[in-house]
Amino acid sequence: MSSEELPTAGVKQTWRVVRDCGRDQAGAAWVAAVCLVLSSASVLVVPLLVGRIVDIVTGSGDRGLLGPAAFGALVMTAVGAVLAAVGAGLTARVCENALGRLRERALAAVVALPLPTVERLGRGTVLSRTVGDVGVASDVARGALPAFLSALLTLLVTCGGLLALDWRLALAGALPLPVWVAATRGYLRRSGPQYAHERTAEARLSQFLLTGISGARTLRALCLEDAHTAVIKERSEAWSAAALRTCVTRVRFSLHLNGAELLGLLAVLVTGSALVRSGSLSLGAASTAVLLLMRVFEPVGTLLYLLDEVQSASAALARLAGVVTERTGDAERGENAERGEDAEDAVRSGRELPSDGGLTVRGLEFGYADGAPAVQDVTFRVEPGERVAVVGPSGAGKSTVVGLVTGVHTPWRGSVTVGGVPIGRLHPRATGLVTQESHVFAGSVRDNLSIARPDADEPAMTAALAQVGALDWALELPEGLETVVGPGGEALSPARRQQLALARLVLADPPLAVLDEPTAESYGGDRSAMRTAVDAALKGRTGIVIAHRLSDARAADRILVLDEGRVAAFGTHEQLLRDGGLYAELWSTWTAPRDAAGRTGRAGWTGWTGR
Amino acid sequence: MARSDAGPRLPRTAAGGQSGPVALSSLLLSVHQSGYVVVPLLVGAAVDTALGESPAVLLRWCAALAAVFALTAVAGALGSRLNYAAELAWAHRLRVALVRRILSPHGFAGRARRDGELTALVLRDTQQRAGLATVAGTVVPALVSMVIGFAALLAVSAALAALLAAGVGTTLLLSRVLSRRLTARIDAERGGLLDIGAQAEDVLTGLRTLKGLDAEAESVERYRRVSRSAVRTRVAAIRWESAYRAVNSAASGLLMVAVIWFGGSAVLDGSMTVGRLVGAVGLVQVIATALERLTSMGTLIARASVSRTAIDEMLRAPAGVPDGPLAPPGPGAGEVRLSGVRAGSLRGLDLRVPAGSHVGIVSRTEADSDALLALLSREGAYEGSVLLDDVELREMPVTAARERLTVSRHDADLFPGTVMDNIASGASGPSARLRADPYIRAAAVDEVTRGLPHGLDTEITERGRSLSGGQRQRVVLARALATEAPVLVLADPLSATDAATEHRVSQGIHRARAGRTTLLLTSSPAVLAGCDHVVVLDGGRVAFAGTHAELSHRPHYASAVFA
Repeated sequence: MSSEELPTAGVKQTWRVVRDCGRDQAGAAWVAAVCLVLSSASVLVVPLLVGRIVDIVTGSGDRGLLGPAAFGALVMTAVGAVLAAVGAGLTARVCENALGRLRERALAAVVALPLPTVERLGRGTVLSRTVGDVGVASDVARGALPAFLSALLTLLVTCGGLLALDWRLALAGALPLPVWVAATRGYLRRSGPQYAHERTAEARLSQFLLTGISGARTLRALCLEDAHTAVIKERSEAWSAAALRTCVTRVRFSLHLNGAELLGLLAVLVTGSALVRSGSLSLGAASTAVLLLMRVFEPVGTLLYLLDEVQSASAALARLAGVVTERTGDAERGENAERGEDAEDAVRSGRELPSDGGLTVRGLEFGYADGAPAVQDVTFRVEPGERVAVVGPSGAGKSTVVGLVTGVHTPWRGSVTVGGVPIGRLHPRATGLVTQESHVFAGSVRDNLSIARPDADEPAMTAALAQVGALDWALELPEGLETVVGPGGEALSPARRQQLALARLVLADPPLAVLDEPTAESYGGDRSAMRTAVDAALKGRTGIVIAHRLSDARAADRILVLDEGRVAAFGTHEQLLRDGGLYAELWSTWTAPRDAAGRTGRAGWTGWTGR
Repeated sequence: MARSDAGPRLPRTAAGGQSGPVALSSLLLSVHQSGYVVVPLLVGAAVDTALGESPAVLLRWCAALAAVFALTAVAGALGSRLNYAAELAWAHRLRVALVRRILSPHGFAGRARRDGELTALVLRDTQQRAGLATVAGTVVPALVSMVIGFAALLAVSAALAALLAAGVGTTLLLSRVLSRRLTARIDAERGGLLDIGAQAEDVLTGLRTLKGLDAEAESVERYRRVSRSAVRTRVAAIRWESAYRAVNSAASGLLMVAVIWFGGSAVLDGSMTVGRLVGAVGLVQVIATALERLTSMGTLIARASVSRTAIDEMLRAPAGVPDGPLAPPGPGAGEVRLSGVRAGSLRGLDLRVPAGSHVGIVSRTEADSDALLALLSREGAYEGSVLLDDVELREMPVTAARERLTVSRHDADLFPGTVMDNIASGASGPSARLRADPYIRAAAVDEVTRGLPHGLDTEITERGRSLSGGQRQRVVLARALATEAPVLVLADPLSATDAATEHRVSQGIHRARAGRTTLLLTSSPAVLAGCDHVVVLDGGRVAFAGTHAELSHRPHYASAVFA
């Protein structure tokens, strides 16, 4: 599915990224490892104590020795528990910090991706590749890592003991080894794709769920709730089925392991018996060997089961590392930018702030992936401080031209310069784009403003709000500028959302501003207020405004008419009307109060009963 | 498969209808666990009696061992498969119940919830809640092996058994007290995880806006802050969890040493043999392991109870809009009459829309049109009277009202699937695709899809973001027209469409809805021109009315429509 569009990193690359994220935790990691190893050793306390008591009883029979031995064991047990807690806490600190950093880098990398790519992937996929994958890895780090270490240690100690007893018995005890290896290999081969399938099924469910939840209002309006729920139910069932399949595979694996254990046990019994009968082994040694072998089973089982979790965690990490390294250059630029935005930085990164917002576009040609060019031979010049409206029928290339001017797309041919600086070398702060549907971020009004300029102070924010006529309502909100708006907070009307976006633009203060249909969502009475806000926000900067309402176009200094990807005309409203081209045609359709469908008011119709 | 309840009723049974499978799996797992107790004893006996004996004796022991081993393994395999299946079915059932509740036609009142919170509720909390199946499958076998262990120990030494019982009781009490504390930490951790999910979603949803203002770095920085604080709460929760586990394992370890100490003294006194002590130690080991298994369930139980609270709160949330009692008889002619309606900013709105007419509504303020749309789509309460074919709207069941009077907003969402799937979802029945065809042309969606790789069968990306605002609006419009609702309310259907298309599509709307009641909330001159009548709302009531041509000369109207 579409999730394959985000790359997965190789083992080396993954390791490098993970190590890099946890670099400052190295000291804590070593301490954690020592704690965990020492605490694992405390599992030997009980066998040691029993052995000691047996020695005392069968040997000296001295009561006085029992107390110190038992007391020592008590202390060791307590210390072991404390070490285990400290080790697990430190492990959590190391892993969670490293994974948290990885999650942050993954998001930074995603944010740096081109917008069309992110939108094609969908929020669900991107979320599961950032937050979701970190969750998988961190759950494993929490549960499996300490268990893995302690199982490994137990296994090593016990195997050593078995080998020390008698090499022939050890050989018999090793009989399950090939079965373990074969079963594990077969299992991992089978479970890998099954886990992948399970995660795909989960992603399919979460994608549909997310759109259903965010589109609940639409579903209700069209009575589509049941239909949507039915699809979610079906996908939820599919996810359960996929999860059950992996469980069946796991169960089959555990049966293979049990079979191997039985094989080893019988082999040692038979060998031991034969050796005892031939007189080359004492009965005690043989029984100890059997008991030791049985102590191997549990840690081996734990280790092999954990391989599975480790596998899924490493797959998650590889996906995360893939996202992070996808565009390292951009991500790094993002991190540098974190530390402050000023002219100095701009110079350091080779980006220039233009002297003015004058825009020159020459011979632009651009098209979307292996298609015909969407725009061709587009040339125009906008003077500093001028306001230009862009009009034209759907598909004329308005959005494409805006994308080229703001640097979202890179032209096939031609050039764009702002204030004499080519767009490739332009500081990103030189242009500001206000999109059609402005997002209100979850947070206070203040947060929504400061995102455009983190260092903006209180007077700057209130001034920006006042400039676009939003200060009055903002102060009337329950908690003024501290009121939480956006998802989960106070709902803002589209007009207010747009005003907030314009205030952000004022704060960001780019010399060149591009507005995509600033009045599309406003109403009769609100619209004139909106237009005043747009005028105020564009004051002192160059403005490019995409306009569907031709009244917006008329308010501009000049109008750029696009048709089929080319410039059809460029001039003032009056000039264009006089020339009688496409614009004049559009204008007359727009204003003529003609009866489009040939309907007439019905006779006897009393539409409203006024008072 | 799991039966699912409709509406806000809660699944009553303890294990979400899975008590049978959970009980059976617990039984099988108990057999498995007991096998684990028996096998070492059996091996011990085999070592004692068969080593060095004739091969026939050894063979008999081996056969017995293999039989018990196989029984143990198979019971374990069956038990865990059954247990997991029950857990999955339970989680699935909870998911479906939650989705039904969240997407219920009646909506839900009370606390507003972020989308991310609801998603986490459906995906994560259901799993944690159903994790109680695992808990049952662990606790029951642990208790069984503990009982077996105690019974055997009682036969060896009553004093030891009593000492152990006191210790086990204390440990269980202690862990219960601690696990309450743990629950608060886990709740905080859950909040932190919700926050990072929501923050990431917010960044991704607002990515367009962020890129427009070069504010990506600042948004990443904000995400970093939320992520850091989530790391802190999670590390704190894990620290508590490890401390809890350490206390439990220390308790069972100390108990064990104490028992051996006590037993060792008894051996030195001569009141117990070495053999019995070794046997007792084995049994104590069994009991201690069972004890650790029991207490280790504390965190799972804490998680499940945190999730259970969140799930129940959602399932119990009161309906936002209740059903009315009057089911209207069949589809009516589609006459709408509003009198003295007060809701939101509306101050006594009177309006009669005859069956089959097309009425344009121009609102001077957004507040008025919002209030009107909300009451027509039955999202909120109103005073006064709204009659749909002489039946009061609020007296009807919600769904019946929306089927007869359908509202389509300009910012309505599109859903995953092809363009055609989305449009056909408006129409119902088997020939939905066929029936949708004329509306595709009416809304000029065919012009949109001509440029797409697979035409009408092109998959649209999430929420239709791959289409431009104007293109998306036309797909939304075609879907609304395809409902063929007796009364259709279209709000700003063409606000993001260019003038030429707007003109053509508005003719399409009027043709497609000819003879069917249609309300058009718009200020588009092209759409208004085709309406039978136009009313202008101002100050919460009708200011004036007439045809578009008549009104065009009024400066007040012209300023609203042509401005």
